Amino acid sequence: MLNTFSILSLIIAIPFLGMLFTLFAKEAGDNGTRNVFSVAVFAVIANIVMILRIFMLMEVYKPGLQLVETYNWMQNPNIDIVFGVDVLSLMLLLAIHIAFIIGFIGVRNNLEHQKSLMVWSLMFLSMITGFFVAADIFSFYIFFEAMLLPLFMLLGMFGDVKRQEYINRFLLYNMLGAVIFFVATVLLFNYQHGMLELQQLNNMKLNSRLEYFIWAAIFISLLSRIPVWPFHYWIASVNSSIRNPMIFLISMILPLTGIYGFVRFLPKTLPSILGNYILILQIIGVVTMLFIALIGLINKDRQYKIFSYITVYYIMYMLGILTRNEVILLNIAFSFFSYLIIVASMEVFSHYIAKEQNQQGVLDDGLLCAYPKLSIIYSFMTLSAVGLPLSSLFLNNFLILSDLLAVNIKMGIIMLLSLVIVSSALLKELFRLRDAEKCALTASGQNDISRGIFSFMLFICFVLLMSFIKPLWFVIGA
Amino acid sequence: MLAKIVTFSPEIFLILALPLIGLISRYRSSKTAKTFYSVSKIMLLLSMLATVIFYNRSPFPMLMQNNTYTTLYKIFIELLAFGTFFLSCKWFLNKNRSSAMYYTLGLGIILSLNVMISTVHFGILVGGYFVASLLQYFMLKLGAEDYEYEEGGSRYFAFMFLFSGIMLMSALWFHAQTGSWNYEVVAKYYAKHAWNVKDIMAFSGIFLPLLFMMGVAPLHFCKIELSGLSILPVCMLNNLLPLVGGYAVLLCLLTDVFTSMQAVYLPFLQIVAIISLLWGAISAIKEENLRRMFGYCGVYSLGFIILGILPFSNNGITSSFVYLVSYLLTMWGVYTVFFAFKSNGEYLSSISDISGVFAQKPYVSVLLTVFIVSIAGSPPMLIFLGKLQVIDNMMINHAYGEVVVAMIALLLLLNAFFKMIRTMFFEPRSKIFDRADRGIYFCLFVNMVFFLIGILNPALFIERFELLLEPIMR
Repeated sequence: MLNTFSILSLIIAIPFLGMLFTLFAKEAGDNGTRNVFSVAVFAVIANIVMILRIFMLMEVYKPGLQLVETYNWMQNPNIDIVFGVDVLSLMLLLAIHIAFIIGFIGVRNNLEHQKSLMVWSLMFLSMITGFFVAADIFSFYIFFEAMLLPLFMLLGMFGDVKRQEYINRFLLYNMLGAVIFFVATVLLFNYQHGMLELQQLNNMKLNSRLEYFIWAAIFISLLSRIPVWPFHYWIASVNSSIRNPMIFLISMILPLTGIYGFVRFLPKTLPSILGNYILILQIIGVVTMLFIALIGLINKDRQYKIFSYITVYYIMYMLGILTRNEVILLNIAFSFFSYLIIVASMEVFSHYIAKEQNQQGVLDDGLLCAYPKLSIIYSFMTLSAVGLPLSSLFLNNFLILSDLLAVNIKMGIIMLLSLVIVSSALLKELFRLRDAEKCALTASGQNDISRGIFSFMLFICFVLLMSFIKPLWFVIGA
Repeated sequence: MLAKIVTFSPEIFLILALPLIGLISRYRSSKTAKTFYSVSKIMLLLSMLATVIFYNRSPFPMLMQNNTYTTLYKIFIELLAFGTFFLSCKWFLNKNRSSAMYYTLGLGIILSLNVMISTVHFGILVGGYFVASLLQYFMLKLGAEDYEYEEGGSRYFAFMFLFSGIMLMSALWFHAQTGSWNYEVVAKYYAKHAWNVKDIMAFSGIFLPLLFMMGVAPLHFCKIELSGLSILPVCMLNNLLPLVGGYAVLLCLLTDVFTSMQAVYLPFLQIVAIISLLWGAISAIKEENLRRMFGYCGVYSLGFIILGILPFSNNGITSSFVYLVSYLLTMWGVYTVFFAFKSNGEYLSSISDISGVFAQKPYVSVLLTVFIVSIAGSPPMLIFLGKLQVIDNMMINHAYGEVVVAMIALLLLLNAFFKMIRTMFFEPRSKIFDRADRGIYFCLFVNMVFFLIGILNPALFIERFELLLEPIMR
């Protein structure tokens, strides 16, 4: 062990320890469920504090990975586990942790398998944290695959009657991706005659046959996580069936790992061999975007509308990353921060609306009129999502889109069109929920969100607003 | 003479245990499974201690030679036996059955395997193989009642006899050719002389019985069949110990004695490994019996272990051994969990029996999932280390075809594992499970400690293994 104080290892360990505490906590009775929930929330908050501390320790605008920690894991073959962070990975981690807290709000009153939900969620959080701090190909692969088990367990335990179908799809796509990635990893490791840090991938020289295989393997394995045709199938079926906001959230974070993989693996100057792959990916990407956006517009299910919004944005980010422009990458990092928080909030409150609607047996048209606090939060999130100047999505997406338009005008136009369609789908849904004429038909609204949750969500709105003014506002001296 | 006797003490302790158990069984009035377990435990511990002390001493150098390699395997067998005996004691207490025969046969098998590992004499190897196989057969008969079992047992007996005969004829052939039973003399002879077809057949006669003992496909049929039919302690012992013994002898023969014959057996081993990988994975998918399913996982893992050895580089031998150790530790955990799966005093053996077990036994179910994920080679679990080393070694040797087959087999095997996880976690509970013994939790705890050490600091084990395997390294 080279470092005496390993803060990056600590942020992987905290959710894992939280998971162990949750596992051994007593669940019986209402107090027990609350206890399990509190342990999980505490673990996530503790990690948020640590992440903020890491922001203080690093030079945020310095390129390359910082606070690097190296552990010699194995001598033969000589494998070092390397951790490191930059502003992109840290922004994503912070957003994921905040999204988790919001997700926990959505399941705080859940009584069925609460302990299992918390245990597997924290395990997923620990693995995904490891994934974002991984700085070498082996730790990257280890966490890339390790996060599948908790998600599989969550889908199986909380899925609906159709779970058998989508679990099989989930396994097929993801395990195939993971196995291919493993072979590519070992191949790269051997070709380089030893340890390979992600930063060194830029300088890697491969022979043409190997290059074809390696890049194809990496593209397929990363794409297996992203909702791009033909890999979108499992994500679409999972998201249209899962009705637990926490699991929906976790399954929506998974594509982020594929997107992030492109950031880490693609060299700064793209090798000529990648030209074909990227062209194919761009075509598939924009076509998928347009189709999913149109389906989202037509589909009446609110959750599907959110899913189509998420998918379109993920593909936009992916296409942005493929440009390999440093400024765009930074904008994507800032944009992702708001995007993940907004998506989490929308899903949690959309679920809350659906629950209220079911409990009261009324239509959801105009329902928000009777829930003023919920209405404020949901409206804020929807308006931020569609790109109004309420979060970092506004400016950063503008920059990403302008760059993509400059790269390829046709692709940019289709992308813009898709964004307009998904935004209009979300706005239409919001107008329907706030329809004042139908307000009288809805319930009294006595179950509006509590004052505590409302205050917390107002704080989240403040965080988003500040991210619009200055993305790294919480870092002193940034 | 005294020095020779003292050096021979590891074997003497095991031999002494046999009449001791017999005497207790005959004359002691209050005797339970615990009594026989205690005797076996003490004798095993003494034998282990003596094995370590005399790790490089040989009482009869022309017949048996000890070194770090033999000591490593012998200790490994005895540790596994120690754990198995402990869990089996719980089984016999629960069933209120006599365990004298089980412990006697178990110690006899350990003794024969130890002799097989240490020997440098073809005659003793054949004798050890025959005795070990025969004792295994008698052990399989413990608890055997139904017709199906009788049929499977008879089949095993016939094949065991056949393979012992083939091995004997091969040993006689080598003796006729070289004039000696000694490994070294045979190795020297064939280093100077060219191989002919009869020599190759004789070599196969040594080689195939060992593969049969290990349960490598396509010679795995008897082992798998009886796994599903035999009682749990027998199933555990017969699936773990002979594998280690057979592997140790096979590796020693291939690297030290039949070195000059690599061109013949390398392609053969490749084929056997690929068959094992695919056969194990495909058969596991449709299997409904828990023990047989894990038996097929063993066949699949053996494919990996054999692929790892090829082509007998130092890296290959280490990677194969790491895989073997990780596999055995994981399987020991799996069998320990099987001892906890009990309903109305009956040990469960079908996958459908454990549906919804998570609701009542969450910790045991989670641990079994950990073991399953480990066998699947998923990171960062223990077998991932073995898988990584084996695949890395295959890549170094440009065996890309084998890598593809191994990965396809892995994907197939995952189906079987996920079916089991689904049954345990996602399906409604079908039975009320009995409370598991504290000793089982203790075993699982110990297993997890080793597991965690292996995952967090694999170098700690791997470096030591490399040192201990030095006698067969090049």
